[in-house]
Amino acid sequence: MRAALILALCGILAVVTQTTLLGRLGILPAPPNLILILVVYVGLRLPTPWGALGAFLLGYLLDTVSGSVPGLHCFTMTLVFAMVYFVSGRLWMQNPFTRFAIMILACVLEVATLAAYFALTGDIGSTGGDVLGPLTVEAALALLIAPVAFPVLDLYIPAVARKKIHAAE
Amino acid sequence: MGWLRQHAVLVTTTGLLLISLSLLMVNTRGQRRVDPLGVVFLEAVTPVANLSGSMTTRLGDAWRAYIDLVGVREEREWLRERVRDLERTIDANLQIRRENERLNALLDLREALGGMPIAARVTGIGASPLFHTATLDRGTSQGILEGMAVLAEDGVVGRVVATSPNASRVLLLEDPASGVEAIVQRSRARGILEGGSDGRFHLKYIKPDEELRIGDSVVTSGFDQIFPRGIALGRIVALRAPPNGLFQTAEVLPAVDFGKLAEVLVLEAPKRDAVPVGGED
Repeated sequence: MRAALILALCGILAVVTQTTLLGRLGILPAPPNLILILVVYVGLRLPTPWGALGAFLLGYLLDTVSGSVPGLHCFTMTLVFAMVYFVSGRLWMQNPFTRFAIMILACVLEVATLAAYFALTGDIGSTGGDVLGPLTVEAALALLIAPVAFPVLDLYIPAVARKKIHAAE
Repeated sequence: MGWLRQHAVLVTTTGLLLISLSLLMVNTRGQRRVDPLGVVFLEAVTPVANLSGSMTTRLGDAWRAYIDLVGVREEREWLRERVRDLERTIDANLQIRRENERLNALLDLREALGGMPIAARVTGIGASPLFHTATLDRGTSQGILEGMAVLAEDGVVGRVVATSPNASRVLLLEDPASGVEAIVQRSRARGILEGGSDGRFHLKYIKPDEELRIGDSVVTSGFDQIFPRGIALGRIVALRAPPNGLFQTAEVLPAVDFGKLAEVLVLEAPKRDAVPVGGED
């Protein structure tokens, strides 16, 4: 319960930071996708049905605040969670390098999914660069922030989360 | 049931993927927006977003003010540098203009003197305060010989006392060892003008019955066969009564500012009938 509350709070803070603070200051070319970092973290630390629901809701939160199509980020984040769940079940995830590698995979999957959606629907922009540019930047920034964010999240979530992992096993 | 519990994550994830995909398809294709949790989430986020929004606005304003300040500072530095550049250019132009004026005056003097005087640039002034000399950038290769007279646009400078192929030394008229035959232009009184350590010339050996006045112009007499006749030497600024009743002495302010010498003319040979330069009453 505590982990769920902390994750919910982190989700709200992340989405607000991403959409207002970093988005409006205009310092960066695109705000980093902090929700993606959280979803990967959830996939690594909470490989449970609750974790899957958490990723779904985080995606929904992002859709609510910044998405124009409800369901898009929801689908993407759930897909990212599924990927992290499957890969982390087959690799030793305590190594920071493998965590970083899985973050790279998540970024690629997120950008590819969103780009595929826009390519299929033709919703935004006439050229691929219109969509791919900002998506790549926000994913790359998330990639840079993740190695710092994961240990910070470990300070607040690990005890409850790991218990749940053991319980799930 | 056991399979379901064993694969709970897989089943949940698949279910959530299907739900989100359905949501996505409905919202992509349909005219009506289906967003069941949107209101709840939006309400949950709004207080934090409002707080963050006001903070962001303040931060943004502060950031923009800082950026503007940096811009102003950079612009100020650029303008300062530009002003320095322009001042340097103005100084250089002023210097060129003054040099041009001096050279023009020298050219007039050269034409007035006739012959082929050698133009030279003063490259240095004697380092010792005891000896008043100057160095010229012309020497024997250009035809300068010892004993030649050196003039500036304002008057007599001195005599060449040493030469080398490409330089020469001039004993300035202000040196106490210098001397030149002079006449007071108004009264035609004759005397010997000598240098002095106090920055003034001393006009000596003037007969006691000659009438001298403060402000009288003193020029070269031309009798010494070194300097042409009528070249300005200076103006009388003080008179001394003859202590022994034999001769008068006058203090003369030099016509030439020896501290600002830049270009001079070296005369090939003394000219008796040169046109007087400066010092006209």
